[in-house]
Amino acid sequence: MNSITDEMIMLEIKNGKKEYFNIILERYYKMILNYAYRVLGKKEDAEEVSQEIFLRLYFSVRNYKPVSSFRTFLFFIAHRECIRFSKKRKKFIPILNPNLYKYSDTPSSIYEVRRGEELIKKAILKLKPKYRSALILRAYFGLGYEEISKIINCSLGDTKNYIFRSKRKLISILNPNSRGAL
Amino acid sequence: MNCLEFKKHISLYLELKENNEDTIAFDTHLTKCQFCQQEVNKYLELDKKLKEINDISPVRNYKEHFWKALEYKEAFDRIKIKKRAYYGLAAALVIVVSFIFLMKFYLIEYKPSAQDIKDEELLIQVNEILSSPVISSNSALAITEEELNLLDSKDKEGYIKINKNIEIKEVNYV
Repeated sequence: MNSITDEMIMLEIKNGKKEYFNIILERYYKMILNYAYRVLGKKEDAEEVSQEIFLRLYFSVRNYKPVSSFRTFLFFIAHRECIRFSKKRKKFIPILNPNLYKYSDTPSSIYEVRRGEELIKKAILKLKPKYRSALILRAYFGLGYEEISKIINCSLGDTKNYIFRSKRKLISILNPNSRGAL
Repeated sequence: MNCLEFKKHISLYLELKENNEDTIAFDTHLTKCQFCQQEVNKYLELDKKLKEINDISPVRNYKEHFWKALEYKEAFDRIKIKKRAYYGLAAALVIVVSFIFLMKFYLIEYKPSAQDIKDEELLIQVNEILSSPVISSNSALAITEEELNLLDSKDKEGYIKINKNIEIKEVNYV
């Protein structure tokens, strides 16, 4: 079962073998869940959206044609679904300055890690959805620029620009003193 | 390369470095310029920070959840399709009934009954009487000889003139 490619699995499902979808779930559920978690910032939302993404994938099997890689196809659905969800919830958590975030003074290494994680998570949430998706796909999933451009549906140049601008914005959010340095 | 050029092409430098491509021109400048080195470090640090978000794990029975959700979704879609079909039928029925109604009252030729024809004729006769300026000489409303004599000569002439020009009709009062 491991040797069978994703595209072949999709074609098998298209031919009526529903049980093959379990392999897709095993291979990609965690990846999509983490993508949604990074884009939306909340575990509960991520779980809800990932389920919706896989339902959409399941129903889109009928129209599936293996023209591009399955991963691109899946992330394309995931990106659209996350944007749709964000618009529905209108949940772009506003933070004025993450450095003003209040923490207790207890020195703890775990807490520091958590703090760093929270800061970066909130800073990512300040980016526009398209920028956010592009950055996450690049930084966390190591996707190529061309693949990302197909997923977020824009040109290669724009994609590179989005990613660089996202990084510049994150730097200015995380280090407010360095704002305007570039 | 100066600082301005480096800043302008910093994204290109980072991309080249990511792909392990030739960055000699940039590196030469970096060894000399501390400020640009700091800027590059910010981007490299950010890449590290981005990795700080830990992965989350799906719930243990996520597959069961999915198949159950699929079952619900399919059932819900079936109901939705049925509902749509009912609404469609109802709309079609309304359209057909409206069409029949229109055909009956506007498009099909109207045939009056015998009584309607009689009424119509009567109405025409009444209209004729009401629109006629002539009063029969036998009528009680006709001007008498005595009344004619009382009129001024000018009025008398006008009356006779009018009477001569107007064709006298025989009117049958109902």
